[in-house]
Amino acid sequence: MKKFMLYVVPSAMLFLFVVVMNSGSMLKKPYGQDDRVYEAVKQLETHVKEERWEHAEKDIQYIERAWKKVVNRIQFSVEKDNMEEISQTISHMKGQVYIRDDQAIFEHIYYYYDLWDRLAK
Amino acid sequence: MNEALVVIVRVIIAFFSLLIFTRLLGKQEVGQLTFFDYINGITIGSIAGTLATDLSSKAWAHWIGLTGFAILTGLLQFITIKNRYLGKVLDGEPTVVIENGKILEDNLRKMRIKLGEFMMLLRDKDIFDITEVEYAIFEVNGRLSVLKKGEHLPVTRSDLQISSMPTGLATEVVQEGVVFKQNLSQRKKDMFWLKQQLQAQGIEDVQDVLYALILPNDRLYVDKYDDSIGDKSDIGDYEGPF
Repeated sequence: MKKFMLYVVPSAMLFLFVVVMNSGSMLKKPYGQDDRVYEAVKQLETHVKEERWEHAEKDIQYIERAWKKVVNRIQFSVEKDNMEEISQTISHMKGQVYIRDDQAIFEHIYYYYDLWDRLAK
Repeated sequence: MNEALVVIVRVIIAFFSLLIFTRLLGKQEVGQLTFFDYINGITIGSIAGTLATDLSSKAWAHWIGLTGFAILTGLLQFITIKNRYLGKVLDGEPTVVIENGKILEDNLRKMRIKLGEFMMLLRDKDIFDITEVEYAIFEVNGRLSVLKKGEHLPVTRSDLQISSMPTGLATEVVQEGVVFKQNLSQRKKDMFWLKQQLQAQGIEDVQDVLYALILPNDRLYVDKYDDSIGDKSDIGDYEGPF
């Protein structure tokens, strides 16, 4: 039994470490109604195109909250810089929603899509 | 992002990965490491450190680096054990630098050791007169081994034909009041024997014993918690507290 544990415990630990370090791509996916970051940005894009700014404001508030939730899950497996870049892009989008700048916001929405694709890859 | 929490998780990953890999790689002593082993060890440690604290890149990338170095180190160890020729190529060979009292300067040059450094290494081995040396060999771990000429070797018991007591290993049987029954039975002793021995030394309870060993001559060495030592052995020259 002792010998069995001698091999099982280190192997299980290494396996757990590998899972934790590679969990980002799974954990960035939504698991509820309040962590759908990507879908919310898509919706924001639609609302900005249709110039429905009140809806866009609600979208960006939801995105901020949802992103914080996702960050808590993925922080162990992704680069800090990548997460910070997404946070900054969301802040840019927020400002642009409040000043109704539909040209600049598209730049940041598409930049966000690229960052999201690269997240945990 | 909670940086402290992420660092804690990464430290756990780095620490235990390093522990598992080093246990897998065996028990080579630090003193026995070749120059390459030494640098390799530093590199592995450096990667583990970065894995724990560098949050600007993924832990996975560093872990792969760490695992890669560990696998290659293990592979080289395996090759050097299995293949004698490759072992020589990878680890190098000991080099004779003094033979029959003569310095082999070509070998010294190949080892990139200056004469001054060489003399220092000899002095480090307590040799101040080079004529005392029969052979001097640079080992693959960078240390110098010296064989003195017969007339300068110390006299041994066998030279003087004096009989000596058999030597062996001491066995721990009590540590901080805990008896190691397995070690007792290895030396073909039991609890009854241990109690008898302790009573012979005026000890009634094994809990009073800090450390006990069965010596090679089957005698029991006992160190009690109560050392009964006065102030005479206190060599401190400052009152403290510190």
